[in-house]
Amino acid sequence: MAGPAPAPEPGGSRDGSAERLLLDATRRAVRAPAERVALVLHLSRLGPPAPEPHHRRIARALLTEAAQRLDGQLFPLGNGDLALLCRAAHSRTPAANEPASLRSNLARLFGGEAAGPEAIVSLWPLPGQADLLLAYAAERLAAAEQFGAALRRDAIERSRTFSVAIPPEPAPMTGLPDFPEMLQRRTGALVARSGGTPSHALRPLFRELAFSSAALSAHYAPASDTSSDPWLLRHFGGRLEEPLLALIEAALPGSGPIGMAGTPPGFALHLNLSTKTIMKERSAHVFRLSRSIGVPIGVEVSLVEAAAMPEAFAAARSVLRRAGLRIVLGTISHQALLLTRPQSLDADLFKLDWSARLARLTEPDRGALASAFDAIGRERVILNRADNEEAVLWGLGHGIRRFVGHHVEVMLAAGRMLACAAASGCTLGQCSERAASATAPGRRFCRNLSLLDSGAPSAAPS
Amino acid sequence: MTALPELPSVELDTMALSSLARDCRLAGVERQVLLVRFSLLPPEYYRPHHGRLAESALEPLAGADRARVYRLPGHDLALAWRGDAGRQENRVLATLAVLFAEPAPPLPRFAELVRRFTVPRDAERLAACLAAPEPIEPQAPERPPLDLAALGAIERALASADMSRFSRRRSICRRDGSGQFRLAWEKRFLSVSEIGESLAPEHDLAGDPWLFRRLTRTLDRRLLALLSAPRELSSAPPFAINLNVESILSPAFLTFDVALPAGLRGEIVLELLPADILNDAPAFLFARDFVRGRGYRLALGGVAPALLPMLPLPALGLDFLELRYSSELASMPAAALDAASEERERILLAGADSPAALLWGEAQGFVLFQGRAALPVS
Repeated sequence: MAGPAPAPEPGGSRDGSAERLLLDATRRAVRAPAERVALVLHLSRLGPPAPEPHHRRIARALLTEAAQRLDGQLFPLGNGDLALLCRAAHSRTPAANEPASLRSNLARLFGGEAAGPEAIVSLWPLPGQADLLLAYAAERLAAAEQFGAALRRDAIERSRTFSVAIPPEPAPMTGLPDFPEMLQRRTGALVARSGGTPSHALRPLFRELAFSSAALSAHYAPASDTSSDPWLLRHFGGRLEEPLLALIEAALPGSGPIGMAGTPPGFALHLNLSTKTIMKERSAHVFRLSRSIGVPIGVEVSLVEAAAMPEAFAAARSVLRRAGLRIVLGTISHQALLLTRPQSLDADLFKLDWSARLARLTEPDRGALASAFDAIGRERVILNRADNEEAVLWGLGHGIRRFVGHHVEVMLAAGRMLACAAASGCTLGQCSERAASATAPGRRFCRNLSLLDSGAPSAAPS
Repeated sequence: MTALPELPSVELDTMALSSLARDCRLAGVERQVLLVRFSLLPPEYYRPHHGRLAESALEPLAGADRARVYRLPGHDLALAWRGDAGRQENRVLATLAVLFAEPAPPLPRFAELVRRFTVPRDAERLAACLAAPEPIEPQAPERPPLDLAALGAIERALASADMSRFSRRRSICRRDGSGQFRLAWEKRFLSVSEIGESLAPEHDLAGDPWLFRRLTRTLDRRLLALLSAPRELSSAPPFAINLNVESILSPAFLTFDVALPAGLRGEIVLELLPADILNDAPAFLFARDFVRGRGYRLALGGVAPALLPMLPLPALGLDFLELRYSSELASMPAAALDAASEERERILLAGADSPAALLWGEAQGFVLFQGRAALPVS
């Protein structure tokens, strides 16, 4: 960007001062003879988890540059929006409508993160549409004055990896007593229409044992926000895989949170493993054990690892195929699905992460996603993070029947409670939380552990 | 101008023979080539006098039209000539047959030791024979993988290290219509192996892939800082740098963008890795659109052959695909390349260190190369 270096890390006005300055500047601009224009980039309208620090950083850099070029002034507002007051056109290139061009560039850049490109940028010529800008600035000022304290509390920027300090290497895990606390049990279920009625039947398909990122981060680096460094988390997770396999080897044939005794035939255990661990002898032991007791195993490898180490992934895939295990390709975002062809990696199941943005894709993206599902086969797609009804309904509407997520856990809990003689006094939330726990304390108050661990099919309310 | 390293005559001859095949194709003419492959002999069998004998054996053909002898790696010899020289050729073959008819140890078949080609028709077969044998790396002592303590120490050391001593460049060349290689851009990077040797010699930096990924982000920042230094880029040719997506979205990149001379705007290639793109696809999309708006071009690097069907360049919205030459790549069906990009001029063949690599790449229609066999003309 031409000119001086961009402004330091953005942090908008938290006390209404920028909003006041914007109001004053707008009033002056209305009285001034030269035509001005106001451009507002509504970063506050970006869908979560945006706006992320890099959105704010780059928006501010682009608008700072535009302000220098167009004799403008930039106002970083308390809600994260950026308002630019500037000349209507560049004096040296009068034909070029730079603010309009800037608007379309910003809309293209940020529009994908917002409800739509038109919602993310406002362009108000002054004095013609000064009333719109004045109303907007007044509204922002009122909000800043009213919620200033709350805004200040929220002002702590989420740090990203650049500021994540490296924690010390933890000691090798030798004992297992507190280890299951980092484990989460999740159930993958098939949602099927039952007998032509509008209700759905739930059939648990597999139990998944996975490490909680938050618990990993808290355990290994309580003083550091490692949750925002995916590579450190992978490093930590990798260290726990062998202890996890040891735990499974000991507990798999029995009952309890890790055991699979009493589960229906075909009910599988899914594990997240790195390609390195898959090749180890410990894995081979567990795979042999599972075969001997008739518990199918599915092994999930992340798409990122498969892409980072394709040779290792291919070798691991061969090992799993020879062992007759199911290969799950996990951590697939819908953007990754639109950008790539993960089906070429020859996995059995593909775990797509739900995002609220799936429900508001553009028409071309909807078409591309449908094509991707066709290429993979909808029966091989698992919708992961189906934590709410919207996710499940979206999946069902797109022909997906396999789900993992909190909403599924609650639906399963509802089915268990209907069948449980000891459920009085329990809530849905308690039942689903106990089912997700891999520790004795987390399951302590359940009076029907055999049902909790059964993986039995259930009819759940739709 | 990029300084050309001085090449040993064997390497020059190898490149010349490779160029012969290419030149013949471009000019639409033919040459005959006889290749004597001492490199296939068991090491204990080859003696220097065999080479001298073989050269003597080739003499009858030395008088053929446009005849030239090429000394190749592994003591191999080739002789190329124009037109029909059947009688002289028969004499040569008869002498060579005697030469290779010595008793034990068992030798490869004569047809393997002495090969005959007509280029350009047999260019790929010739190139496969010319492929430099994989250098046998001395067995490095096994070192423990990078751990958090070592990573932290490296990052602290990097914060104040003079990075210019680790800075390296490689030429990326575009083959022009006359078959010459012209510098398209330079690849600028920090030598990870030297950083490892200097700062953590007792650890294998890539031993833990995830900590290594983390380290690359630190290296990105240092490289960007190096390139942002005053006058660093004032007379720089177009160049490419490999960055993490997150680095593109960092303050260090914005500083670099400010420091970029106007003449280089639109000439810089940013190279990304598949795993990094997939690690945070929304961030990648944002970064891609941001830098494209700033005039940068984008390349996908580090693509293993097995990933080709998974990574369609048009869907990713990138300009170039960098592939590293390997026998695995060379054996991939064309459909796999098509799956990634049907536009061959967008594919850059890295590791084009041998005539085989170069010829394979040219046969695929590539025009962008990096490697010892594709050095730029001055």
